Amino acid sequence: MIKITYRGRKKDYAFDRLREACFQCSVCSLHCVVQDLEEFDAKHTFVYDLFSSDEPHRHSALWACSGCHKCYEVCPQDVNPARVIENLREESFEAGSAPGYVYDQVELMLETGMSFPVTKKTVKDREKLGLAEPKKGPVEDIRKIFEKTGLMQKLEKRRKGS
Amino acid sequence: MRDEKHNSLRFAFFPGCLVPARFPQFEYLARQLFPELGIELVDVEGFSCCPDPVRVMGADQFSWLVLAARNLAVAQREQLPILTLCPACTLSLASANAALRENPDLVSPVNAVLADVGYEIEGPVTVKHFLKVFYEDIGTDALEKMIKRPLGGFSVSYHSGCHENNPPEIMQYDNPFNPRKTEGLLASLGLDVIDYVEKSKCCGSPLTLDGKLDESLAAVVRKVEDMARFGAEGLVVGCTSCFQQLEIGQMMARRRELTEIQLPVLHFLEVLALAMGRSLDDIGFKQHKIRANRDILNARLGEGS
Repeated sequence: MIKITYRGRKKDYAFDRLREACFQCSVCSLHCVVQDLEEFDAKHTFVYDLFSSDEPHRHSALWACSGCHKCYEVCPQDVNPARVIENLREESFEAGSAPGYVYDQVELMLETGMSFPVTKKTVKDREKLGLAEPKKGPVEDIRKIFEKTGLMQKLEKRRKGS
Repeated sequence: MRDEKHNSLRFAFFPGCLVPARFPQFEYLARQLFPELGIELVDVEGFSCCPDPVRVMGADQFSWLVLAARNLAVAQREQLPILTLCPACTLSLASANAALRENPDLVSPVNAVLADVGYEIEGPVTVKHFLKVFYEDIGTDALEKMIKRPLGGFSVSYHSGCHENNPPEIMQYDNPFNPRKTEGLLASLGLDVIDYVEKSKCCGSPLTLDGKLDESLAAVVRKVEDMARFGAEGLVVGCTSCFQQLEIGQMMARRRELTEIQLPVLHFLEVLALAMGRSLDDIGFKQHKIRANRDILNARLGEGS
């Protein structure tokens, strides 16, 4: 059984299920590319290793998961590690401990409506193919949405460095 | 969705962010080729980033859902299904459909935010990755008849990636552990499709993004060595992020002497273009980072070098 001392603050973490149901068969880790990381012991599952640390939402490899959901597919106990990881990531973002590139990507969405920047090379390459420059995304809508959902406040907190 | 009035497959075109910004040649190929296959791409105003179902969903789940629902509402207003070029965009939009369908008590809070920006989501919107359109709406037999030049049995393995089929109840395309459908499409184009063991493994691109380069290259090496072991002369991907990772990953792995294997990486849209009569120059093969086996590919295409 997983030794869990970490207490989640949201009931959809399904900690009880995780604690009760996972019997460390490690079938999930057979399919998981994150298992190659030296932070993880190959005998354990990714989720076990996350929860063996004092602050799983600050784990250095939390954001290395690709979200392929194979762990969820193969788990004989319906643990749904993919969901646990999604929830921990949300917590890490709010706590300011997500990797820098995640905040950068969200800020870029706010600024341009897109997740990848349109550069001079983009414009040049598109021109050669006869494609117009990509239109700027709906940034006003995104700003209003971020303000209403509270994501803007999380970004501001991060900008202030807290 | 077959649009009877227009007698064609008509979709709101959702090219995403990565393709238009960094790989516009794939957008170009889609715009050129799809009408030749009877697919009409309608440019719709108002789409934003899908948003990223891994990083933005990880940042804030409710914001992700509202932004994805907004994109669905944009297409819904035009009364069009959505065609995507990117499996992650497909996952994001299809997951939003599923989330709203399975949790009806989320619809009201989502629409409360969407109302501020002049949208409302009313029921699901059909979202299809282009491979699904090819497989389900066109079919392998019809595709085989439509192509101009079969690809002469060039041997390829197909890397489906993490988001083409997972989770299956949302993506509703193929078996994530042993996908065969896109391989069937590739066979229709005249390619010799080679099966291999490491099919369902991730290419490692999130590891690259997260700064874990050694492990990311290990994932690439494992994949391409397995493909080569079974006789692949090249590899095909349906995902642009995988394209980037497998090209650059092989290049870096070779420099670090982690592998000798260099399989040319071809996007599905590129092999489709070749099968529709375009040349290697037309698809920009010269700009590919891995140009090994060009002679073999040329020979198969019957062009000569």
